[in-house]
Amino acid sequence: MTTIKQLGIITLLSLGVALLIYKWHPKSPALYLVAGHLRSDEVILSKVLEWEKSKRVVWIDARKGTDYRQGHVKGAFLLNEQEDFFALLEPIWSEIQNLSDLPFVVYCGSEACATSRKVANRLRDSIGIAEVYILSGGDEVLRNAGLIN
Amino acid sequence: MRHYFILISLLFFMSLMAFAELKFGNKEIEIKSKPSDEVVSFVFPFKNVGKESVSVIDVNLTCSCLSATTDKESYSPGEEGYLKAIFSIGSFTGIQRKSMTVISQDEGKEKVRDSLLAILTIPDVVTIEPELIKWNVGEEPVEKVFTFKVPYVDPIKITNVTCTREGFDVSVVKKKEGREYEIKLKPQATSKPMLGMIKIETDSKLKKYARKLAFFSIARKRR
Repeated sequence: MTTIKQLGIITLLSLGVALLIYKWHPKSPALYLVAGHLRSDEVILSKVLEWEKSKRVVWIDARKGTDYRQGHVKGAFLLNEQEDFFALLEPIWSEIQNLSDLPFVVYCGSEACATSRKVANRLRDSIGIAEVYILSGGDEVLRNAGLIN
Repeated sequence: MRHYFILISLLFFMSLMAFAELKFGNKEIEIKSKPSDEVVSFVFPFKNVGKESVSVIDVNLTCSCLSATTDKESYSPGEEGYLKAIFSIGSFTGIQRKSMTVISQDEGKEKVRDSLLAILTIPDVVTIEPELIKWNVGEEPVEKVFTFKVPYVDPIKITNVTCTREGFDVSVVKKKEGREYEIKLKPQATSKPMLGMIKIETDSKLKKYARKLAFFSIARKRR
């Protein structure tokens, strides 16, 4: 019984210290997904549409080829990880290499889709494109806005 | 103390009896792919160890590189089956760990989730270092080098190298036939930003390695 009491006290003390650190730590993360809380490389659709008024935006569709062929944002290029990224890139390279000064916006099939981030990292780190963003909300927000039919 | 132990053990076994209807032989499978593989299959056998029929309702996948199906939808008590997950290798390299969740249900009971893990090791056949060569706008246009290596058993020779941009001097230096090459790249000027690609053709019989790409950029300095 004494052991259980001691364990309980240790657990309570640990929880108390953890809560205090969480409350006062300057970089404590959100405990859940906060609407509108974007990472530094994420962008919301309204911002992209605002950019499009003054300059071209390069859309990258990171979903499966079958989804892309069913409907995509006008002018979007297909680039994903599950097919061969470089085999997809090579035929569109002559266009891409002349667009490197523009913002690239990557979207995929869901809010939590990791594919967008992987494709964005490749574009940035392996290809050398300076400005790459991930569309918050994925293709759902594009469908809702009527940009994917 | 003894009573607590009995109570905890009882609760643990009751929970197992209540939920473990589909019993998987192995929840984690590790496979090493061959260089020629474009897809790899992971087969997870299981058995219905419960007293009721179990239906597999869904399989949640964490990567669009995976697809998964079971051999049937419903399994009678004692019946064996399997889940087959197909991994499309695409441009993945190195060790890939992809999880999936099988959701099953007895009639009238709660849904049960089983997590499975597929680990795929994709061998390095060709490596190119660095991935990207960079100059800053206005920087001295010095020569920079890609190193092309073949760590795999079968050697691969470079047969041709081309550059998608004019105004660059490109040359190939053989360090060890079929094993290591240097691809030297020198811009004539770095006055404006641009992206470019080096296409490296090889004698590999495997389509995936018959042509490799490397990239370079002349970029504006970011503030």
